[in-house]
Amino acid sequence: MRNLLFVSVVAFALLAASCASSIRSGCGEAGRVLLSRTDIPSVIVATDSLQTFDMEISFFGKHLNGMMLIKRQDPETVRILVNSYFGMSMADFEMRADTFVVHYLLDAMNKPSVVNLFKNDFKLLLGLYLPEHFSAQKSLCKQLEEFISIETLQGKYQYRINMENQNIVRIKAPGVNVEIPSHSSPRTITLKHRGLFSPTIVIKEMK
Amino acid sequence: MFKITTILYFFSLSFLLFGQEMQPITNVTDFERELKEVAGKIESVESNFRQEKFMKVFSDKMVSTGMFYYRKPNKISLQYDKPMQYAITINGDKLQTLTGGKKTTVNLGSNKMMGQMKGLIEASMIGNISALDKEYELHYFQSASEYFVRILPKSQSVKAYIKEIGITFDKKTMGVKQLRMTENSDDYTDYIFTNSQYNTLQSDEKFAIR
Repeated sequence: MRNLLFVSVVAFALLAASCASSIRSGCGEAGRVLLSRTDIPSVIVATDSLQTFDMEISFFGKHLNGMMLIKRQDPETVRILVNSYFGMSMADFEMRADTFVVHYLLDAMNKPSVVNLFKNDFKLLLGLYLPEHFSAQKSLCKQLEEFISIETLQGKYQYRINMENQNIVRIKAPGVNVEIPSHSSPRTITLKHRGLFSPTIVIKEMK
Repeated sequence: MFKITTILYFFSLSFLLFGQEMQPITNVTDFERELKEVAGKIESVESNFRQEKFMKVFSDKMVSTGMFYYRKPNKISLQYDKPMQYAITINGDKLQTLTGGKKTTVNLGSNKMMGQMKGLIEASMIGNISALDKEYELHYFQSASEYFVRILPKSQSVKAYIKEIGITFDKKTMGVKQLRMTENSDDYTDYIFTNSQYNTLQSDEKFAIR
């Protein structure tokens, strides 16, 4: 009986996964192109002005909410702070293309796996991990979107980009899927980490 | 000359720190008794609050506003309306956050440090500092219109999150006007309370944790 239940759960999970639309669905034949880092838009563009986001980390039905603040401190450095709504500091990160400094992280979260997760997520969102120039597979898709696939040492990064406004709609990166629905208001970025014990992070723009 | 400059500098810093006119309270016992008497009469508080989180690294502050509710015993709720709807409620040993319809409930009873933090926040927000145990060092100051209490945690586990708390009391009403929570990183959060109404809450509706 237990085996039957287990098989049913696995079968359902596989079915659900196969039904989820692929990041390539509706796209034509891909051709090889040479691109620069600037050809891939950033999900979040850090500027000299302070930008604020609502951040929710969900893990096993628990939700941890805070305010994420991002500001470019100089041409190479981006600072990211996360505070609880109550005002307490939760995280303080400094990012450059080649470095990630943890100035502060709540004790409960200060584990190598969590630090790595934040590092990879922020690098992905800020577009800091790509080399200056690289070779990619590119194809046109339905709904005026294009598909770009890049092989890096860390794995494969696949993007679905809206060609009208040059906004990223979806990313499939090593360990994480990112979704940014075009017409969400406020603009909402959902990072679903793959794996049984991985959190989902939802970031919403605030005025 | 150097000595004079140093002394002047030191005094100017103290001046700024204590709102230009704060002096140490000499008769602490009377002050504590008066505060205890007033806090003892408070069954509930509801007030508007403005929260200003100052971040040294950005030289900027984040402002939030909302309503603050307190009801005896052990019930506190901060209900934010700006920059977004969010609520944090402490009811007895439970803490619940609510945002976008999603609730997360944490049991504080099982965690000694969280229990200490809860006691500290509760005591600070209604001015019931006599409820604080020997885990804190208290310093008292006054001006013509205000009292100021500086609370320094002794426990290393609390110190990891809060360096000190400063509470400003209105001398006439003995109500808490402002609370400053300074973190170890020298960032601080001010909570400014206005339109405070005492003993007006008749039910626990604002503190329901489901």
